[in-house]
Amino acid sequence: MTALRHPVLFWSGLALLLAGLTLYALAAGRYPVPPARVVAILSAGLFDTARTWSPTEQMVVLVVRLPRVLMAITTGAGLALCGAALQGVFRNPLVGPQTIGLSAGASLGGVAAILAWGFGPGVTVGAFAGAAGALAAVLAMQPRGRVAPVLTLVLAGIVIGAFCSALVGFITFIADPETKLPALVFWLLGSLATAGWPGLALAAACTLAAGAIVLAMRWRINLLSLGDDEARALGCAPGRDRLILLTAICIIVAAQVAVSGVIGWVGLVVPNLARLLVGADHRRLLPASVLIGAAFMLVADTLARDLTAAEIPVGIVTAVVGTPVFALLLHRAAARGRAA
Amino acid sequence: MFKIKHLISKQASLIHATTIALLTTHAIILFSCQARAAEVTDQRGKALSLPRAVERAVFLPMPAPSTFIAIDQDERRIAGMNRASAAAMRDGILGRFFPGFARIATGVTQGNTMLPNVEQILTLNPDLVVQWATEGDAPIAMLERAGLRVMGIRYGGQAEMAAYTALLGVAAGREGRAAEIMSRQATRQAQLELAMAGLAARARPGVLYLNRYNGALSVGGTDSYIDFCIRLGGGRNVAADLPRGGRTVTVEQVLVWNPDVILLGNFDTAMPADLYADPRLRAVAAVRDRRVYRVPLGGYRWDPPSQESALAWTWIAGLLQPGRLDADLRADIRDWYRFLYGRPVDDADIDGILFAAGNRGSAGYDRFVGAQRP
Repeated sequence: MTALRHPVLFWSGLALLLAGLTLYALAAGRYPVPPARVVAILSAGLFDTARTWSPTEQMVVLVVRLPRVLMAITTGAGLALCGAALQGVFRNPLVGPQTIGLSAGASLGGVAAILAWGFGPGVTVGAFAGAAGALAAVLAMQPRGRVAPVLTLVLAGIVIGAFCSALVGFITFIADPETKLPALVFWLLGSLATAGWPGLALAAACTLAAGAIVLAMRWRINLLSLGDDEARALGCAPGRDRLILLTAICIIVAAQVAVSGVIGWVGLVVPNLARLLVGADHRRLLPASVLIGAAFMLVADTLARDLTAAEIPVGIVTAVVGTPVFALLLHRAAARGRAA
Repeated sequence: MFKIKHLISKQASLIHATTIALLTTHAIILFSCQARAAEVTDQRGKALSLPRAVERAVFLPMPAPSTFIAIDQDERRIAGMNRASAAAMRDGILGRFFPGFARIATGVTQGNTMLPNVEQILTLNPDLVVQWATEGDAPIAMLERAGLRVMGIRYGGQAEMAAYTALLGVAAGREGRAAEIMSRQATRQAQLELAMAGLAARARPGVLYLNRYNGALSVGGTDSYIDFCIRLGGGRNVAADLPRGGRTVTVEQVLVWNPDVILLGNFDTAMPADLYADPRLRAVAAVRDRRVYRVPLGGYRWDPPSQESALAWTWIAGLLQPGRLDADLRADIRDWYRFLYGRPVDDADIDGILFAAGNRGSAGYDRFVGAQRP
């Protein structure tokens, strides 16, 4: 937790890193737009500057890149926040949105909608219905009239997740290989390629509203992470709080899957990465996960769209980039632990 | 005079070359009329003994049943086919020409894979199973272990198309018709090569083929069949730097390529109006000049190789180099459909095949659909 010896420096550094990456992501792309011109285009609405850019450059920055960059920030922040909260609630660093079945439920709804109607608004409806269905199924598997133990919830999540994944596999198995399968597989791998203002509005509204609830409950997550008995002794209602948190997380995950398919790894790795930097106190861990998740996703998506002429699904990039970074941090943390 | 002689000689040599290509493809076909059977070598190089004419054929490769129907002008000898083939027939005009397609068994594959559903195929009691020869040994070995006669076919380019059409001709006992389909295609190919000969590189418009637009932008790379069609039609594939198979690209890459023409494939539902309404593509020349066209769908999709490929080439040439090839596409469609399927088509049918309603708003499409038509 050396990072928090200078908290002001740490938080402003993280915020500056995110701002710098945002600017870089807006300037990077197959269509060349110099960074200075990106700044000029962005500030044109605020200041009366001379127009030194072409209409195409303006369109590339404002219509093609800006919604996608904001979408990367939104989904990265949202997924990392969900992962951090879930890991606290379930007192397990291996838990993420994919572990408790929400991602699988949302992706089942999404692929079913693609199979039935192709890409369109149906995918959003399907993702929300799927995530809600998965959450309802997980809750229905809990013992009636009692506070659901953490282990039962996780096990139910794993079972429902596996069930939904099997159905997703079945749909990809029967989808028309000429017309539906390629698009379906690409969507399942996760991509921000279709990012636009309507999708961003949906993702941002859900992430901001539900994320605010999760962030507001950060101290309650601290209590929940002590265990149900301790949390109850400290005036917390574990069952109710978990339900509120799971519902908020369900909304964020459903919105993310609806707009960009299933993007794994972020919700699992970023909170662990943030924990190495700021410790396990969720009052710091949640905001740190938000900022690091947004930055991580920005880097991954910028690589996904710029590395080659062909676009790589961002879900692949998050895993390929995230694994060595995480392994390195884990190795260093373990080494520090031994030295201490 | 010299020029005319030169052109005639060039055309003759092209036809000659195509004929040689047909003869030297994987299918080396020998007939034994006395035994009323045919010995063929399929496209994996395996010798195969066929009955003089198969009576119950099962097709796993998607485009093959429509080619077989075109050769046989009938669907009754098809005992089973891929579910995706049935969907393509249902969505295209072939389903109306041959309504009996609906009784053909599907479910001959394991899901959407190339692996056969052997037990289902056995219940159909086929005397020939046509299977992909491009997916390794397993999909064919599974069938052969069950004692089934398997013809392996390859798919992708014009030469492969010619070879498997010849093989299917033998299977149908109608080698003459199969040869005539490919001969007609070779003639049109030669005419197009002649018409586009000497076309300067700068006179070839940049063309982007979007295999998929919804969800993600997938394009056809170098040496893909559509790349061949674009070059034959007098264009230049802007995605020729990408590998052969479809690749997903970003919107920005499309802006960098800035194609003059965009062709929308039949593996997606996107229409030109979708691209005209997309603010991200406003700066693309093809969108600005309203030169986005949905590739037609006839007896089969016109983007991959098929028995209707000559029509696809003619359509593309008409879009990219209008007037350079002396051909009337609508008359050609009538002629080809009568020849392929033995069915007449009216103006409404042709408009449907050419996606007249969806393409009408695009520049120059009136030359195909006519301003007076609804």
